[in-house]
Amino acid sequence: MARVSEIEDILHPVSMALVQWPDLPVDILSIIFQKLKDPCDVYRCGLACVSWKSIVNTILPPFLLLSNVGTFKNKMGYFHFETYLNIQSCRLFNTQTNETHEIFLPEVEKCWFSSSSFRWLLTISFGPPHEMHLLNHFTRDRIQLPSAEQCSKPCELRVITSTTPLNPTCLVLAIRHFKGALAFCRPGDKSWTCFVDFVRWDNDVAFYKGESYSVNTFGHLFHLHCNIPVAQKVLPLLSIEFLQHEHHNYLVELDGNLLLVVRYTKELMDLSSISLPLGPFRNFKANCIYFISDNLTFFSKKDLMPVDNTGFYDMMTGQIEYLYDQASLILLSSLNWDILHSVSMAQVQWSDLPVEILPIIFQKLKDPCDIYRCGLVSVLWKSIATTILPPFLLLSNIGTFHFEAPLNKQSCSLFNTQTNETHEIFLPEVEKCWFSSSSFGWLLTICFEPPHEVHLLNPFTRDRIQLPLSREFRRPYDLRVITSTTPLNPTCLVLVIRCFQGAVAFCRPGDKYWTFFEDFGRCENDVVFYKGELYAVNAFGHLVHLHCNIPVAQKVLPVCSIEFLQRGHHCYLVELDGNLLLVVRYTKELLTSGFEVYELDWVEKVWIKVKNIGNNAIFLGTGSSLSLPVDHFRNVKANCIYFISDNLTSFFLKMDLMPMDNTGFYNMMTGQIEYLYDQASLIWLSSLNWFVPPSSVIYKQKSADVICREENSAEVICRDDKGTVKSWFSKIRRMEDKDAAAAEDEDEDEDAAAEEDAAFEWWWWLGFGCWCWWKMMMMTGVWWWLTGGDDNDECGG
Amino acid sequence: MSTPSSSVFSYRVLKLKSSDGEIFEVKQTVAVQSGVLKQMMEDGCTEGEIPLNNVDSPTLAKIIEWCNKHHDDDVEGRVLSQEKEKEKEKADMKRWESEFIDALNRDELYFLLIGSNYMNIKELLDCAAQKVAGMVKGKTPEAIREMFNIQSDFTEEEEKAIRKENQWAFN
Repeated sequence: MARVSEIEDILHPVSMALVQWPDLPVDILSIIFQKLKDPCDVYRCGLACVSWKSIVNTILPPFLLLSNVGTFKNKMGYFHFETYLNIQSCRLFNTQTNETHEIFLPEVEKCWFSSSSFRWLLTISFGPPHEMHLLNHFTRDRIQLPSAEQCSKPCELRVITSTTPLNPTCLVLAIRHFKGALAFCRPGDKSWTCFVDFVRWDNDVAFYKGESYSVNTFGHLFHLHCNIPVAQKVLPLLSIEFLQHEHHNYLVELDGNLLLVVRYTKELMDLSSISLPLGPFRNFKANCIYFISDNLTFFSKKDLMPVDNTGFYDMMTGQIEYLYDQASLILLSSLNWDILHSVSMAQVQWSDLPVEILPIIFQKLKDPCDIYRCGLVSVLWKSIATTILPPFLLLSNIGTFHFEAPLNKQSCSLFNTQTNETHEIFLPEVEKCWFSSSSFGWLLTICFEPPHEVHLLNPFTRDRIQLPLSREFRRPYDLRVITSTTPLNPTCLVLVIRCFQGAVAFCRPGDKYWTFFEDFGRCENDVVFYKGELYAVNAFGHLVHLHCNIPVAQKVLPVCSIEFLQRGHHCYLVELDGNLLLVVRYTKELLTSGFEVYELDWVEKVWIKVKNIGNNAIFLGTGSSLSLPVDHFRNVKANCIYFISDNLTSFFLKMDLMPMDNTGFYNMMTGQIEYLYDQASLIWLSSLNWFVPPSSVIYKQKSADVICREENSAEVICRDDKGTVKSWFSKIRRMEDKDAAAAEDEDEDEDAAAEEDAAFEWWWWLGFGCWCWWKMMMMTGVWWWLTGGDDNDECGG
Repeated sequence: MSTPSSSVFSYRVLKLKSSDGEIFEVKQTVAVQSGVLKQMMEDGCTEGEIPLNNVDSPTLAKIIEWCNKHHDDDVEGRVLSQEKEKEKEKADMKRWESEFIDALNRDELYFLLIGSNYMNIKELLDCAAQKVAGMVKGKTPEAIREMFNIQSDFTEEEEKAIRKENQWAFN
């Protein structure tokens, strides 16, 4: 104290002279602080201002050994706890300088004490009421805790607090080290609440990210709920095979990870465990575990001293070095680690990291889940993660060839199409289930066992949403599911279609049953949510508008059917840049032979052939089909249609065909098909799905891009197009954006030359419309004539 | 300055000046590992002090330590013709690298990233990036923000959506 006032005396006149002490060079300040021997003084200097604090943090030893008064004394060969108990102070041992400091603390007289987290001491008086306090040995603040009658022998007690005890919601957790009894209270409580149903094997407790956990001798982790003290949840962790029988487990948080530290003992050979980054401290070695003896009752062996059990273990070499210093008596007492401060981060702005470094770091992260999570950190990180995160991973359905064989796998695998690496994701929920990806990154899982439970499952968060059961889903292999929004939204509509039978059903999460569209002509190929409405397409290219409120009602849009090149084809609906595309896949002897893409002209109600999808790629498969801009993805080619085989049942008929022979991409420009598969990877033997990580946020960027992209693709089409149809097309597109009236107004505003052009285009437009209409009439006529009256009844509306 | 002297005095020493004015002397053969310095040597403009305005002296010291170690390794690698010894050498180097990187605290790591990027030392940058990746691995976005002191700059709506979709990731 005297020293502090001295400092003030010196400071006072100088500050009058308008010298800016806080501006004192850092080197000088640290020399000054090092001269201060007493940790209390250094600590108090650190409270002066921010810049001083940052210097103090590098000087103040992170741990001081706190001597418990009166640990043992040899008296007739026995060791006693009471001998030194009348001392009115506690001692701190600076491990950096090997100096001992005495702190005046009358409160600890006749008390046993131990350090808890957040720099407060727990004191328990030895006298009968066994009063318990939390005591700040620097400020001498004291907080009363309920007294504990059981704690007549507190030496094995260990106390942790969730926050600083000055916070009224602070939770104080006490554990009796070698008996495993666990209790908690809050400051102001009348009594301790014990965890009743505890087997007495618990070794340590820790607060980790706001939750409390305990670990027992077997390495089992318990999640403690302090509101309902009896309740506990064993986390499903595997127990560890310990090297030796005699061990003790500790829980430590390190860099946001929860560590289990196992201490092996031999012939009786710490109280609170803490970890700190070792950057600024001088005498601490990195990669070491510092320990002190934590079982003082072992004094039954006379020839052993606690000093023999104090040292540090080098994780690299596996050697133990001892800390004690023969000269110091402090190591004869029972010890505690005392943290004087929490290391605060210097003002390094990681968010300022140059943009070119971030992708290098992200690329080192192999696991897509990690990259995905990084993308949620900030907007900048998101934009970079989006370019690194493969847009689609092939999701391997377990057990393709023999559907039932490997179904006990508790994981699903994702294949990164950019790096050709396969990642396993732990998913116990998919055990004995068939699963397929749906839109918005959720999986549809259907259990193979009799009730055939249906769920939507988020593979990254493992959220699960139950859907109604249906006998229709006993053999789900051609099932395809789409959702209108993310399934967490209660109004989300889940739609299921059997690709090769055309049955369509829907439900909402929470419904009791699936609703089937009954008057369906069982030739539906695909369904899509387009601008909030639901459309289905059949094998003839007819578009049906589905109303999910009145499931029987449906409206066939008068879209003319297409003259397909071949008979063997399958139709898909894809939304691209706000337009509805029909993608036709032609197959020859089960293998994909080519594609055609049509875009719907909503005005004329015709499918217009598209030769170029610009800077986009379309992904087709058993699951949902989708389109994405490929700008920033490395291995995805623009203007291509990526496909995977979607008819697995048919492959079993032909023994010489493998699904991988039907996996590749079709280049719209050249009309060539290239195959994706890689002989080395077994993934191609499974049934596949395209999968987009479940982050609507990451890909939300896409919708923002639509507006500018709209223009781009229009341009692309104009440029590529030699005939007139495409320039038409871009015109129509522009018209769609604005009202017809607004478009006319614009035309008037334009200068004469442009007007002429526009008029010309208008005429073209009209002519083309007539031609299309005529064509459509012809085709419907032909189709009616071909299909006859039955189809007419079914599909006509 | 592509005078013959540059080839004769290949052991010549470069003077690197850190942002806080400290001068470091580095052998030319060591400095070659830095893309920037290599370019400068080729252009022959390494006379006098080379100012490195983005690198402070503790970081530059670390970088030079790294380069020296790797340079030594190269020389020894040529001497040791035995395959086994080479492998051992490689393993030793790996261990040294990981010790070197693990000994850094977060701030030092940050400056090392900046410095190695600025001086264009690819291997060091890779190594540091690997370390950061290891720190990020398995972390929730909030933990990452906390660790690197990053403020979330998502709009409130986006933040809400993220939280809703990623309850597990934030727990």
